[in-house]
Amino acid sequence: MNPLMTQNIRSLPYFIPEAILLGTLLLVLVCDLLQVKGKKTLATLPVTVTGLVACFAVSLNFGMNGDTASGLFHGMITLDPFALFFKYVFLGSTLFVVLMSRMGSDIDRKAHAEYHTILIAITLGLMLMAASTNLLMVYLSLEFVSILSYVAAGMQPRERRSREAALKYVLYGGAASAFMLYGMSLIYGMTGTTDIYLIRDTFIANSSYNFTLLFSVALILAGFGYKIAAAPFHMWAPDVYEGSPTAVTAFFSVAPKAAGFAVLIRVFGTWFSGVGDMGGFGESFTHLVGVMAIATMVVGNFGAMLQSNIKRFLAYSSIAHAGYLLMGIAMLPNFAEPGFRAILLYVIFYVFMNFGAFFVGALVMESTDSEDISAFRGLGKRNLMAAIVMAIFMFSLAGLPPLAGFIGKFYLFAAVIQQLTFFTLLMITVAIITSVVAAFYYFRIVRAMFLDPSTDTEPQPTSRLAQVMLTILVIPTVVFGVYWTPVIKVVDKGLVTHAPHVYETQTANTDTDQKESPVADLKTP
Amino acid sequence: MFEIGLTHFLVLTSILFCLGFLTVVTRKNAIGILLGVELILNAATINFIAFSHYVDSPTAEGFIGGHIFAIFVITMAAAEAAVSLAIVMGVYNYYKTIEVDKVAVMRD
Repeated sequence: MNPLMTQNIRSLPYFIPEAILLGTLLLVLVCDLLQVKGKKTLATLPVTVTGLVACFAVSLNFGMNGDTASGLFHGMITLDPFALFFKYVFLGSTLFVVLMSRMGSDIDRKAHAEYHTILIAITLGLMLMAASTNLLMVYLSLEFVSILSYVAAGMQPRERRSREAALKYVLYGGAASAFMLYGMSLIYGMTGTTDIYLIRDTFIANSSYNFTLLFSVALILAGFGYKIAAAPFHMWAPDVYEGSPTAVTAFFSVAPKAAGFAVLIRVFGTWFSGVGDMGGFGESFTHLVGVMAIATMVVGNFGAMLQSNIKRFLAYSSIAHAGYLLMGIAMLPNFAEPGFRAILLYVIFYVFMNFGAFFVGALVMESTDSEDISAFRGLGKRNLMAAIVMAIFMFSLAGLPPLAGFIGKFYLFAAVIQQLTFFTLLMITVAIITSVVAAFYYFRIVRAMFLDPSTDTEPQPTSRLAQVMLTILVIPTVVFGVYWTPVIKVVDKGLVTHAPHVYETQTANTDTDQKESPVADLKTP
Repeated sequence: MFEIGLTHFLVLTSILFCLGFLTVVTRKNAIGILLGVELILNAATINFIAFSHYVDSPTAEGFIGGHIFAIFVITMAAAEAAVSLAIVMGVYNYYKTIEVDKVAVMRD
């Protein structure tokens, strides 16, 4: 058989999680077709949930067995613990959002099949994003996610804000990814390859300061920064978050953001950590990303102070969190590992607390039919459980001590403080000042719930499913704040990336005998 | 004799990139902005083709890599154009305009 084919076929077993998602996606579409004809409806929700759970189980199985491989499909993607870690995050997020949108009414019940299809496809794209090891794959998966996100943002066809959100998303997104592509083309011109590990080798071989490289990195940073909503590429975020259906907004604020950081760590971590200073390039990189981090923290936190719409408020809050995480990326040239560990840790905590905040926010918006922060008034009287849980999420997002958010911030700040220069001190100072500002605006919600007078004291109980989901979200937020050793273990496992080792044998993909080693490197003979 | 080299391609793509950037930044019309995006994409595509012709690659696959990248970019641009035009249509149906500063119900 053609050796190229052989390698692709040998890569397939490591592609099972994605294949399951692909199958689920088609199945959901078919289920929708059957619904139209028959009178008895075939629900798409069970199919979606089963598919996601099956995919999660298979990924978990790969992770438990340590069954990993690199250089899949000619070095396009890899299946390493790092990619698996993010697969868990994405699948968990999607599962949560699917259940959450079941409770809300902003997405038309008839459109649920299409909505599920789009969500599953976005998840597929996110999984490929975290796994890609080639600039081509990075670009394709990022665009895959973006294009579907534009559609998801416009999933509320009767709401005019939803259309406006989609338009703003598509314009900013298209421009950002075009800049990124131009940067990638320059990188290709400098190195002659699109494989990120080969690019690293070229950087090591001619390690000198290079302005073109800085320019292309800045352009690529525009594309990635847009995905994580970092200033100055954050302008789309408040409008898109406000206009999109609430469950979709919750999804946008967690999953693509995590994927953006996965790509940042994979690409820039491979290129610039542990390759030396490259004639001062490392410092320039720190300054470039650091300035972005500072701008993001300032814009996010001060922006959140001024908001009166719940979704806009949470949008700015998520921008602010991206700013804190970017500090970990900025430390990458010299102190990569503590920064990466802190980011992965923060991602886990952020998933729970941010989904929690969105979930209670959605419940409040649904019951009061208002998106204004004043809708929280008197929640302590109307629904004590939801109010207490929301207060926990707010304190955790603000980074107060006995909760998970504090531990995340602590690790992040500790990673930055390892290198004492004027610039890191500046970053830390801004981070601490903005954290204080953050505490102020998160308290505003808590005050509205418990202290502000309200006329409406009629009890509004939450449904059983909502209670279960809130419990699932709040327990980790509290428990990880005092006992986070297991999370650190998971994170340390997830930090491992596998690079395909041998490149001289690029044409030696001809070997056909199966390797039984735990890390099968399909590129090595 | 006048010999066409890599520099000529790079000058061309730089001009295209700058024009595209200016279009994106200055235009108020949604379609105009999308055209600017398309210009930048084309600049990148020409870059990929030119580099794959003139630059030595560390691998055998690297040479063809630029061509493949270009084809994928063209495909992706088509997909993105389809989705973005559909969205622009949807906006026009509601707002009766595609000037981006007039499509602004949401503000800080």
